[in-house]
Amino acid sequence: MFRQISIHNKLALALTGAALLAFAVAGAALVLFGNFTLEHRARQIMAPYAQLVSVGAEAAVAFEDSIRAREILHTLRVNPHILEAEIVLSNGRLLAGYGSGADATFRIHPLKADGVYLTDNAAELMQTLEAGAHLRMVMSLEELNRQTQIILLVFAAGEFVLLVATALGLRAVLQRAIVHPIAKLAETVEQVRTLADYQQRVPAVGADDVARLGQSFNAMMAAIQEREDELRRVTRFQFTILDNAAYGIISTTPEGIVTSFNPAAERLLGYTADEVVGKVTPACWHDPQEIGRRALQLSEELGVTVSPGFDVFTARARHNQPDENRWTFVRKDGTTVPVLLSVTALRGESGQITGFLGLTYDLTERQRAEEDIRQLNQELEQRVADRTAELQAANKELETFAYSVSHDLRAPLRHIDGFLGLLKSRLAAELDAESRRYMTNISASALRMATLIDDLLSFSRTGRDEMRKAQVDLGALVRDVIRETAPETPGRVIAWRIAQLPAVAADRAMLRVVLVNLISNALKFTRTRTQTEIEIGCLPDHETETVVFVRDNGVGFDMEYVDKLFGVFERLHRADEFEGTGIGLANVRRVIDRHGGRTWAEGKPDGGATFYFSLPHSLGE
Amino acid sequence: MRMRLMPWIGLFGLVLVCCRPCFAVGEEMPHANPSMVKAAYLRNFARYVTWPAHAFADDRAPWYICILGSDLFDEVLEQTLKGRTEQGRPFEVFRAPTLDQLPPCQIVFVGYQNAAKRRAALVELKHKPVLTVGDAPEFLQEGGIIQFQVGDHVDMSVNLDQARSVSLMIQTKMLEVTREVVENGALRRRR
Repeated sequence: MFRQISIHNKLALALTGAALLAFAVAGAALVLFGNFTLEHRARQIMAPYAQLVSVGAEAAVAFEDSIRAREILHTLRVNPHILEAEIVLSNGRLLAGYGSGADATFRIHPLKADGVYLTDNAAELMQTLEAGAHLRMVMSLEELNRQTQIILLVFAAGEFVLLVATALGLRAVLQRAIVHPIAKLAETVEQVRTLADYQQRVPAVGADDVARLGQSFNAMMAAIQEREDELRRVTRFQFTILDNAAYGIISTTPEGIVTSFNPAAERLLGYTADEVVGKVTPACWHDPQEIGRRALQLSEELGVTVSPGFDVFTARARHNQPDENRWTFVRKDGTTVPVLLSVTALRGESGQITGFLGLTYDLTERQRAEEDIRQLNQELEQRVADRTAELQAANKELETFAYSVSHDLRAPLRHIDGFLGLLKSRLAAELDAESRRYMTNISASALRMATLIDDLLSFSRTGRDEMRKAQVDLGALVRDVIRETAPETPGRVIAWRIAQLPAVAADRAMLRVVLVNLISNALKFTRTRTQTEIEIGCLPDHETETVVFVRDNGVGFDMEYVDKLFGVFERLHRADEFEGTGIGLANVRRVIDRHGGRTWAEGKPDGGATFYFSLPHSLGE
Repeated sequence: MRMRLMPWIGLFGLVLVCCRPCFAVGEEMPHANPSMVKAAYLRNFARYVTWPAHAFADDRAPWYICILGSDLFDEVLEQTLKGRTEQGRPFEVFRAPTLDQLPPCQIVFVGYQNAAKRRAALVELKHKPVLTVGDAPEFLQEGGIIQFQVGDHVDMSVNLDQARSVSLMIQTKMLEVTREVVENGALRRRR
């Protein structure tokens, strides 16, 4: 109960208590002092009388003169409080007695040592006189006690007035120094609490504890106001962001109840913030079937059971995993809208989840654009495929045409050559030299045309024959081809430098065509050299393919025309310099292309040439 | 502050003194043995009377108490004085029927019943520093210094003139218990 009393009343109580306590202690001390000093005071009064009697009665005692002794005792009547007195001789005989009252009786009292003896209401003094006699004197304490009581009463009244005055004065001082400032402080705190008005201040003048309390309160209020202003600024800033963001921003409690819903979300979903905040969970505008599918998918992914409800949106966020997914929102009017939704957990200072924040963006436009791009790509691919098919058909037709033409041309050509032979044998004698030369030229041309046609046919076959890939020992194949070409180079000095060559995955017959062509070319274009050097090797360290080169020290070529090298019937030299149809390198390129490799060449006029081809490591077609 | 009040209590008590009727009651019991009282009186005289220095042989000389006349004190006197001293001097008692049989005494009890014999003895001692004591009623007129009688009360009378003439000083205290005093030739009754 004492806790409910105001500080003012507590102080008043404490002061009153202290005053009463002081009063009681002082009163008790006074009473005790009075009692302790009673004997002393009684002695102070009685001793002079006893002394007077002692001196005056000396002779009376000596001569045992009871009359004189009585006279002397009789002088004690000046003090009415002396009740009785008697002188007893050493032999125990009563010499004289005195009594102040009519009822005084005398009897022999037991002999006591000198001193003052206090009884209830009287003090008895014993004093030894001359010659072993004793004086006994009894004084009433009534008067002394009455004096003590009067003094106690006077003291009590004075003390009471003094204490009351002190208590009232102290109370006034405390009121001004403590109670009023604290009451003011309490009132101000209450106002601050109820009105949230942080501009309130209390007067705090001085340097005592209460003033320091007030000053600290004011400083605290200033700090709170500053913090409040800063908070307002931040809040305004955040509201501006929320109100103007293109993203729909929705926050919820950990259980899913919506706590904020920004204007972009209102536009996106058709609900107003008032309709959803504090009332529903985001599951309200989701497709339940989609939520169900997503719950199953998440349960598999995370290895925990995710119920098909609000948990679906927060399961990953709860595990601190990024969660960004496409969803279909069902607007208030029932229409659907595709959105991108990312969910983040809001965490308190100790890491506990205080809510979730969802950022959502309307994907309608983006999906439409993506659909457009996809459609365009599809169309483009279709068009490319169509055009490729057309080209392939035309190419095929062309090749078929070229093959059939070549094939069909061979029979008339053979007829021409055959009949020219017959004509030559029949007319040999009649023809002049000129005519015979003409006929020889005709025959040579026909032969050359036949060669061209054969080459064309072989080139065509290279493109059409079925390819059978296998592991081919490149080194063995090279040595085989060199041995085969040896009869073509009688008497020539040729320095072969052949490196260690790997096995490759290729069609053996086709690869042979490639090597024959490249080695024949090397031999052909080094014919003018007295010392022929031909090097065949591999470029080192190619992970995905094997690169083989054939280098010679022949006439070389101008890199300006390197693009023409691998074309059909393209020739960089005249036929009278170096024979050939110009189909060899075209065959090389076609074979390597079909193997998925590449062909290229380096060279310079009169500086030799190097031809490269690559073959992929894999055996795949 | 409160302590300072205390003396007031005593003052207050004194101020409140007032007169009230008082009664004093005397002792009526008779003395057991008159000889014992007389013996005590003789000893008291040694205390309350001052002798000139030449009355003693020296500083240590004892009191000579002399009894003149018929045997009056039996052995009570000796018993009373035995072992006691007064002013540093012990007591010695002498008894004799005549003065010439006695040494020079400080106190002489003249116990003669015969008035003529008393007067003769007193005349002889008249100029000596001797305290003469007797119980005859005319003892003072005869030249004695102290006369006392033991009855229900002890009545004592003192002849100051005779005491002064022989340089004996009788203390005032003793006069307080004296019934009659002869001074300057006149008998003054004190009570």
